[in-house]
Order: sequence, then C-alpha cells, then structure tokens
Amino acid sequence: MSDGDAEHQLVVRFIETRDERTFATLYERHTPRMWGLALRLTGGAEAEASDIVQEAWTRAVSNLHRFRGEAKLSSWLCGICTNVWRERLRRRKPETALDDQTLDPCCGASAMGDIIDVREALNALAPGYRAVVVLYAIYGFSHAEIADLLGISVGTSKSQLSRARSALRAATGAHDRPGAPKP
Amino acid sequence: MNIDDMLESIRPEVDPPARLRTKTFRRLRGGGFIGRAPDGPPSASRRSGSTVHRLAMAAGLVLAFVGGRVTAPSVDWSDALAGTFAILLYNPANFNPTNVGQDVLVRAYGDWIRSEREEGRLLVAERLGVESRWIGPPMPGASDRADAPSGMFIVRAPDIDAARAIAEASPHRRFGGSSLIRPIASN
Repeated sequence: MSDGDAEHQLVVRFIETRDERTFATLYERHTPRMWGLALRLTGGAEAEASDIVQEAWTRAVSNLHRFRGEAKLSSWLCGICTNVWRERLRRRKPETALDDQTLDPCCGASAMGDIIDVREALNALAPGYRAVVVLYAIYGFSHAEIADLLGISVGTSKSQLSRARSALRAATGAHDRPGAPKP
Repeated sequence: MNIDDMLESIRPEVDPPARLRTKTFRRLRGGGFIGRAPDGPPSASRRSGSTVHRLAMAAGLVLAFVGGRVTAPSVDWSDALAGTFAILLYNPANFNPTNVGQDVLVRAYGDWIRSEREEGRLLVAERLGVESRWIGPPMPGASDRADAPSGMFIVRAPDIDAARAIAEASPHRRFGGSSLIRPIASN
C-alpha cells in the first residue's frame, strides 16, 4: 500500500469515526508543514499563524469528506491555510491587493541593506510577493496552483516571483544559481 | 551563495508549539468535530462538561440582542460551507431586553461571542438595523419591520440539532427572543 493510500484510509477512518486518536495522527503528520507555511506567510507573526492553523484545521475537518485524494492531503491543507491567511489579510488591510504590480516587492527596501539572512529578507517582502516565493520555492506549488490560491493570474505569479527574487538577491547579496531554470 | 540555495535551505516544516495543539483540539472538540473515543460515544465527562459550560454561559448572559454590531471574522464560504448554519434572530412582541442596560447587554454578547468563537463554533454575529426597504411582490406573512429578522449568527456545527443547541444557549434566546435555524447550502 502506498503512503497516499494509507493516508486516504486514515482520512476515511476519521470521517467515519471522528475519533480523536485518528485525528491526532493526522495532526502530528501535517501540522509542522501548515505551521511553517503560516509562519512564512505572516512574516513570522506567531499569534496570527496560530489562528490560521487552528482555523485551517477547523475548516479541514468540516470538509474532509470532500477530499478525494487527487492531491496530496498536505497540499490540500496548505491550500486551506493560504486561503485563511489571504482572507485575514483582506479583512485587516482591505487595500492590500496581492496582484498589485506597482508595489515595491520590499517593504522598506532601504532598511534591508544590511540584511543577510534570507528568512528576514523574506519576511520583509510585501505580502503578495512573499506568498508567491513561499508557495513556489519552499512549498513546491506550481504557478497555476498559486494563481488559483491567491486569486491572481499565472503571469502575475511569475512576474512577482521574478521581482521578489531580485529583491531577495539585493537584500542578501546572493546571486542566481548558474543555469538555474527561469520560474 | 545563490538565492535558490538560500531558499532551499528554508525547511517547509517547523515544529509547532505545544499550545497550538491544545488550542486546536479544544476548538475542534468544542465544535463537535472530534471527540469520540475509538470504541464508543463521547465520554460522559466531556459531554457534561460542555453542557455545563454552555448552561453556565447562558445563565450569565441573561437578556437581549442590543448594542452595536459585534462581528466575529467571516470565512471564505467556498471551502467552508459544509456544517455551517444560519441562526436568524427574531424579536417577539414582548421582547424588551434594553431594561437591563446597554452596557450589560453589550458585555454579555461580547463575552458569549468571544467564547463561542474561541470554541470554533461562531463565525458571524450581526445585528440588523431597523431601517429597511421592501422590494418585489408582497409576501404573505413577511414584514419589513417587526416580524423581520433582527440579526443573525452563523455557526459551525456537525448537524442542525447541534446548531439548535448553540442557539438555545445564546443571549438572544435567554432574553426571550426567537430563532430560526437553517443550514447554509453548500452547493
């Protein structure tokens, strides 16, 4: 039995029983990834990341019967986390458009001159740019998936990734990997 | 060092804090989404604890739905419709909660909303203003004022009876208001 099949069986068992022990297995397996994503999306704001993960799990268990196993459960859960983050951002800062190409990728770029840690540089990116980099480069989502999750076009996802990478290079003093494929 | 190596050095998994587990499990138990032991129904202690909690909360909340708008964060309905219910609030003729004082009422509602939200049950709480406009053909039994809903809660619950239990414990019910509970259609 593949890992995917075993996981699907676990999901089915949980749907049938709502058993806390089965849920605990799912929780232990997937929360580190959801937590990591929530932290990256929020720029390291732990309290907000905590709210996001709790809400994501609540929605996930309400809708697990819709999970068909076509995607990985981890991707599905990370998608819900991203939705929750996006929704909270929209509520808190209604003026923030994730596809705003006029934004400087870096919030306060002038203050980033001395930053050498890529995590700090990532946290300093504007939310839309940060989300694209995080979802693409760290969590392995495709541009089509990112476009769907963030409500932006595939072209916007690609251009934001490119601009964000430039900003990160400038902030960290890094360079492109020779022969690295273009996003 | 190049930027791709730097980004790849960031691990997607991060150990979550223990309190996140506690909060998540408490919220899911509170909403009735988890909690059955593998061999049987929910434990009596957990169930009675939840009931006592609800009753104590309701008893402390005494009267009606007044004051301004108190809203819990709304949700993106596209992925969260299943298991959600609207509780439409109505004010019957003898419904007059304002005699306890607005401060008391606002605090009671605020406490209840915060608590329900922390338990993962309450998504939205809205009070409707009195001004209204009716459009379209007249509807028998419908009114543009007194008989119209005065507010609504949107809650998450495993089924309509669980949603009804939430409505029963709400301040509106305790103040003598009436409620209609309906599922939100998921498609």
